[in-house]
Amino acid sequence: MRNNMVDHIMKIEEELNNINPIPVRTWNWLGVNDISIKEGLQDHRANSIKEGLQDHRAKYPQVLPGQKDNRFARFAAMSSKVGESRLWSSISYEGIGREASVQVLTRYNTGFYLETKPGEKVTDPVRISYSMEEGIPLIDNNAILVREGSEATIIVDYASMDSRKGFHNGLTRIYCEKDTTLTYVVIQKLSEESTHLGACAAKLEENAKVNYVLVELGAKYGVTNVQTDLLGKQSEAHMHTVYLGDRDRMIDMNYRINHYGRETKSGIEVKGILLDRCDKIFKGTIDFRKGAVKAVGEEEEYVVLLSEEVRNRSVPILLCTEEDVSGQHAASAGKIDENKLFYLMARGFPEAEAKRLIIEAAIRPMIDRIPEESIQRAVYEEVRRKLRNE
Amino acid sequence: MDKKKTVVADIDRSIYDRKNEDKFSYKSEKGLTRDIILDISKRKNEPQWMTDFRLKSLEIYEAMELPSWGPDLKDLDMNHIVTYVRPYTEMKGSWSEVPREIKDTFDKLGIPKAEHEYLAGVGAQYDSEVVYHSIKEELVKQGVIYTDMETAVRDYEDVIRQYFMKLVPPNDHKFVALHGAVWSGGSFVYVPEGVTVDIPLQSYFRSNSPGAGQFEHTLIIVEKGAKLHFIEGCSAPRYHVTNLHAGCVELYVKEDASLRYSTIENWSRNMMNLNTKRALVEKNGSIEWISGSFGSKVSMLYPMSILKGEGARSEFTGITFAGKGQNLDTGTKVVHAAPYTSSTVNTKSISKSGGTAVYRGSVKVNANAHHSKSTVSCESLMLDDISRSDTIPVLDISNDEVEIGHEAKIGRISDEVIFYLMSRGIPEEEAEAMIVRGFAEPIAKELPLEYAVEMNHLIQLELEGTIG
Repeated sequence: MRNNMVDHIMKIEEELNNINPIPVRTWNWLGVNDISIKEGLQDHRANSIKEGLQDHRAKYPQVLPGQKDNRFARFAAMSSKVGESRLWSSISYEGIGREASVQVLTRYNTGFYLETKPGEKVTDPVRISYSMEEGIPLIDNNAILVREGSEATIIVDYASMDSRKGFHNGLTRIYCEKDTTLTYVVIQKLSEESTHLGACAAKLEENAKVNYVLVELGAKYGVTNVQTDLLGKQSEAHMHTVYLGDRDRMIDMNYRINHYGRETKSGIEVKGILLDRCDKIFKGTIDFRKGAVKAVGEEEEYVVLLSEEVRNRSVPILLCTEEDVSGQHAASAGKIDENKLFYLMARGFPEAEAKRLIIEAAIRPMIDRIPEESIQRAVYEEVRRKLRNE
Repeated sequence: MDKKKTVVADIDRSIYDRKNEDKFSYKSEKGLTRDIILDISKRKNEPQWMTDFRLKSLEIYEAMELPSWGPDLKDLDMNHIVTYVRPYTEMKGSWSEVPREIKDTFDKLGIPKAEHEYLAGVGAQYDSEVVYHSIKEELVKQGVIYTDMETAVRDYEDVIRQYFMKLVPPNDHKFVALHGAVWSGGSFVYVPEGVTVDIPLQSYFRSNSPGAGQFEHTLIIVEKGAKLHFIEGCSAPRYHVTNLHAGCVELYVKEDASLRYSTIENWSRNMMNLNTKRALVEKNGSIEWISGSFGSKVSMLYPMSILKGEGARSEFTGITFAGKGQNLDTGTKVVHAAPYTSSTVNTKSISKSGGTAVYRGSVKVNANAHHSKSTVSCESLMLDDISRSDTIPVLDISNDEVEIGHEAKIGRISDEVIFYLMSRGIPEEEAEAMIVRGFAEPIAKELPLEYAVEMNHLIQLELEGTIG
């Protein structure tokens, strides 16, 4: 059966053009309005979603827990009944691009649906591991419904089982009812030549809170789009992102937080390390809509540049049509702090080791937010491996 | 309980809105054709290379698309814009010879008075042509040239040919191409090596004709070690048809030279202000932009500094005030193209009564520009909830030996500050006025006196408190 796996891959186009656009365009010569990549959408051969799901489950049985999890109202593989229900189709979101989103919604071969029980607070994180094997396209369609008064923590990781070039296109839709807290962690460490398209859209009701922890470590093209609508009064979104870009990777992150409700809060905190010839674009938009009285939004990006050949682009956008708000953004970039480096080296640390310590200290506050130690260790290990240039 | 609201009144534009009868000695046909351009060039008695340049620019203009970003330009119908309006007077070297009506307009705007009191030289443009130019005798003796562009094309043809639209080529964008085709008027300044012009030169551009375009070209060359402060002012009365301003400013700042370029732009609110300004700064040179945008219906204005030589510096200080019906999309672009270059950007914007103020900027650090530094700071103030304020900056860095910082803030006048001032016995309206003035103060203090006065006049905000 393994021998036939190549047959599971179907290339749709040669490239993806003008994807992941920013909400307002600016000068074209800066190349930040949207991006085009030299990889197209890839699909699997299955004739239907059902076939695709069966096919995928046969190969990747580890994705979902085998037995029923009583802590949740429902935790199962994504089904068309759920995915196309009114609630989910009300989240209109083009994400990275229309084509990519349509592919997920109509051609997914894996995905989960998780619905909490009202009032039930689950503190143990739920782990979902998607792994790509033999370069078979991974197309995941996920949805999370956090019922009133409940809490959940979900960790999703995307990894490659081998070093083959792979294709991943995923979409996660999140809906948080009143008085909820969701911690949503995504760790991406796909193989070097892979394409990663990761989109996520969330809607929050009154007093709902989402904490995102997003760790971007792998893939040749890492294209992500996260949009959060703070609809209800006092809803909050906090994003904590760590990325490490090395070799010839292209990282394109596009985050958007829309403040609709009164007294809503948002924070985008991004820390990155760029090595080799990495080309990175970070686009973060905080949009204060009329009516978002007393909303507060803050955005901060800090980039450590470790090579003179990197290209580091940042587009921190603030949009505002409401007077009574407070928005701030800050971005800074530069080399590793020479004073710190000198201090450590004077105490006997070799340069590479000293650099590693400084970098780890910079990303630690984000990594510490991952609610599982084994994953934290794995992330540090991956960062170290990359810094050693392995 | 609803928050107390303070209403900030619109700027009184009456002195700018004076319009004179539309008198002219020649007006080109509406719209843009090869014949119109040939005609303009012929009337100006231009050398063949300039005529060819205009025609080439027209071709580029026709081939280019409108920008795919920024404000909506659909109100702009080029077929209805008159590109060339020649006033009914030749250029004068003496203020008393300028026709009374035109003179009155400039007098009302305080222009010649300012000349006597603060300026080293003055140029005044009325519609498409410069009507007055003067410069202090001692500067002429030092070799400083300050004249209108038409004269410059004739008298300093080699210099103009070498520099004209080399920094801002016609293929840069559609409106620069248009400018290249129909440019008229503007100033040429040349400051020779080592000469310091310690009092400012000023050009004032006034557009009077309805439905006309203004396309003045300003070319300034500040030679090695020289210094200059140049002031540009613009205004126009209001008409119900759309006017277009697509000027072009090219500034060459040579080694160790420094140039300060100040503008208070106050076009009437039927003006589409699509202006292009750019400075090329050589080794250890410095450019300082001071830019106030108050008028126009739509503005797209982003003065650009290209730091070409090692150690070159740029500083941009800008204020934008968008009121009812205005969409002011302003900012700055900086390119660090050499090592040890530094840039500072400091902007403030205020939006009220449904106006839109956008800060749009970019800082690009090229791969060779090691040890470059850039600091950007943008602040926006919203005075009501029917206005709009956006900040759209881009940082593009291709070198690791850099220090780059960017920060932006948006918000309203804080209740705590108002409360604090009120608790010290200051009435609410005055407290708000103080805060708005304080917000603009860092810009005002950078301006020469008479311009600070003009700006204060523009920010002359009548505040009336409405309780409840």
